This record gives sequence, structure tokens and C-alpha cells, in this order.
Amino acid sequence: MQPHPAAGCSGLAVDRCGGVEPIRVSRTLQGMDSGDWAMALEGDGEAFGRVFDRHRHRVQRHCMRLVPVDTDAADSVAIVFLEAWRNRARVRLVDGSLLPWLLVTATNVARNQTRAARRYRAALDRLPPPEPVPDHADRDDDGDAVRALRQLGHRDQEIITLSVLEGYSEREIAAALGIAPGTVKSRLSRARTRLAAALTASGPTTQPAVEPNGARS
Amino acid sequence: MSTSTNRDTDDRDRALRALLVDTVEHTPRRRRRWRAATIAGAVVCVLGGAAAGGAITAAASPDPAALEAQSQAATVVGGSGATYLRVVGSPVGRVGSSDETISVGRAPARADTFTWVATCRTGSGEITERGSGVDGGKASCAAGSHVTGSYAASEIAGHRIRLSVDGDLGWTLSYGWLRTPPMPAASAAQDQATEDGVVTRSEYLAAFDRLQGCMTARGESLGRIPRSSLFVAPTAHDAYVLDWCSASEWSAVDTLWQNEHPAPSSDDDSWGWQPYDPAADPEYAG
Repeated sequence: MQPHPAAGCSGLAVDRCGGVEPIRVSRTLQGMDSGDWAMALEGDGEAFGRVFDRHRHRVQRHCMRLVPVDTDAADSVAIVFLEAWRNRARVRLVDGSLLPWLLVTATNVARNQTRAARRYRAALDRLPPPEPVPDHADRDDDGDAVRALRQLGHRDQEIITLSVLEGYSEREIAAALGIAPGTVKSRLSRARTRLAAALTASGPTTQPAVEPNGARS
Repeated sequence: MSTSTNRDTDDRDRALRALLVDTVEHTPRRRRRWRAATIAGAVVCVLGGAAAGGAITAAASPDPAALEAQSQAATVVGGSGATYLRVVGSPVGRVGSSDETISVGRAPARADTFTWVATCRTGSGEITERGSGVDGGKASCAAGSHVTGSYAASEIAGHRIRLSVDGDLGWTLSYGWLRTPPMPAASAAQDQATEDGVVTRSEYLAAFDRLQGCMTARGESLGRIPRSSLFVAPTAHDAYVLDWCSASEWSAVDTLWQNEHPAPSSDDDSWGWQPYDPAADPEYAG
């Protein structure tokens, strides 16, 4: 099976020791953001629409990993893109891609969905209601690794998301988070340790094994 | 299974996309937004200076307004943004009543922003901007009001900004480069307070103490800020020192603390200013 960015929440590869390995995914389209982002900043709404088209699935998948089960991941997706625009002066593109910044924003939004939604309540209310998710099993939150991830602090979630789930390099993560590469290294090390501890505490994984290239066995 | 997760596009996606497109297209662009409050002081200086200086120089100069525009350009450009932005090089000031093109040229060392301010002196009409080869929007301008815009240096260096004027506008145009002073990374103490993703009340107040210490060390004071409320809100006269010290000691801690204490749905914007009650906050009161 080819690596697929929409492979669901189980994008954590868990080894027997509770460690995690990154899954590398194709990012050939991501570098296209810089032109559209520049055009959006010039007032071209369609350009921002193209950014949305490019990343909405990835952002939605990430939101479904992290938002509490009683909240609406569809709202989170909307909030992430609205926040991207509201905070456009602070957006950092990494190698021409907006995705790392969107994922970091999604991590923060998921942790504070209620507060974030208040800002955009009027806009969200104008959207058609999302399709109901039939049951808990359909959400991308199954698996010990993702449950363990949800237990971590937001900084740990940010860095695990970018490094382990999305496969960004330390240099790219440093650019996305606006911190020094050395800080990424140490913060990632601590986050991995805490993730492994959380995994150990939650017992043996029931998640299908995932190869480092994203293929499932 | 049919969920919003796995369909390519559903009605909500389309509606959300339309909302985003609409949001962008109806956002006043920074480069041409009105900044009456921000640069009012600068404009007062210009107009006042023009009134006083014009009388003095009229006899000696064929165009006292132009001389005044040039003499005040640095004040106007420097007053167009945050108070701690620094003017780089020599801003230009000129007067006119027709279309105008700014040749931006190369950015000076350390300049990160290019700013222009058009103050409409006579008549009324619209100013249309075109920069970096991209059509900008229009802004109405009447005597005494002003239009301003700014670009990132990397975006505009070497390009031209064309301002098209209709109506019977007479304007003063000031433009030049600005530099944003560097901001520090979070201190080790702030990193330590946030690295577990949880900020307790004691960590929150300790970070505030460090912020005050940082301000004091730089000759600024936060004044008497009540520490008894749920949120502590520092203000200071020197915005740069406050921003600098906040980046070092406060911002991340404050963000986490506020995230840990979200406003209830019934909030009437008074949330955060109520007295802090540790008994009601056992998770973070430590």
C-alpha cells in the first residue's frame, strides 16, 4: 500500500519499546502555498480558497485526532483557517508551505475549542451543519498512541505532530514554531519520552503496525 | 460510511471555502487602511508645522508645502506604526495633486518594512494603489484625512507603488523604510514553566514577577497592577520594552494560563477580571 496522507489517525508508528518513528509523506504540493498566500494577502480570496483546498483534509484529520469526542472537528477546521487569516501577519511558511503552521494552530484550537469557537460563532452558525459522525469508532481517535498524544501538553503535541505524525525535519519544525533547532531537538526528546511513558501507562497497543514509510502491514 | 471525514467535498466544505474567500476579499488590507488614531499626532505635527512654517518660508520658497512635507517625512513615517519601529534612512515627503509613482529601490540594511502615508490636503476623491504588480484597492480621502499602507521589505524592494488619484485631491505623500527591533526568545525560566504544557497559579505569578523585573531593569515600570484577578494585564508606556520583556518572560505563560481558564459561554467580556479563587481552580491553583 502506498503511503497516503489520509491514512487516518493511526499515523503513529509504535515499536515494541513504545518509541515512535516519523511517517514520511509526500509534500510535493505544499510548496505551492507561497504564491497563493502572497496573493491572498493582496486580497485575492480565491487564492486562500486554493490553500484551503490543498490542506483541509490534513487539517481535518489532525483535528479529529485531538478534539474531545464531544466537540465538532468540522468547527475546528473552520476555526483553524479563520485563525490563519486573522493571524496572517504572524504566519510562518516553511519551504513555501502553510501546512506546518496550520497544524500547530489546529493543535492549539483543539485544546481550546470552546473559547476559540466563541470568536467565530456567528460565522460558524452560517455554515451548514456538518454530517454527523455515526459513532465514536468513525473518529480518528482510536489507538493507544493517539490517546497518549492527547494526554500530552500542548507543546508536546505540537512537536510530536510535526515530527512524528507529519515527518518534518528539525529545521522545518524550528521554522514553523519560530524556535531554535537546538530547542526543537531537546523539546522533541522530552516529548518523545513523555509520549512513550504515556503509551506504557496505557498498556499494549492495539493499533495496526505501521511501517516507517506509512505503509500498513 | 458517509461522514464529513472521507467525502471529497460536502456542502459545509463548499460553504466554508466561500466564507474564507469572502473573508479575505472583505478584509481591509493593511497597506491601505486608515490609521487615524495611530498617526494623528504625526499629522497634527505636519499640519501645524505647515501652518506655522509656511508663513515663515513663503517669501523665500516657491513651494513651502513641499519643504514642509520633506521636513516632516521622518516624523510621519515613524509615527505610522508601532511606537518602537525605527526609521531607517531618509524618508521622502512631497506634495502633489495627480497620480504618483514611488520607486521603492533596495531596502537599506536591517529595514524590514516599507511604509507610505498620503495625507489629503485639499479636495476629496479616491486613491487607488498598485504595488508589486498587483492591483490594490481604493480608499476615499478628503481634506485632513490620510491613507497609509505598508509592505514587507522582501515583498516590495525594487518594485514600484503607483498611487492613482481621482477627484480634485491635493496630497502630501511621505514614505520610507522602518526597522522592527529584534525580540528575544523565551527565557529558560519561561520555557521551564511551559514545557509540561501546564501553568499553575504560582508559575503564572512568578512569570509576572519576572516580567516586572525585566521592565524595571530596562527603566520601565508596569505601575501598580492588581495581582488578585484571574488574569493579570500589564500595560506600559514603552510598548517596545513591554513587548520585549513579554516575549522573554510572559507571553507563552500567559497564553497557556488563559487557555486553561476559558471564558464561559455567558461571558459579558468581564471574564478574567474577577478575583482569583484558588478553591474553584484546584487543577491549577498550585
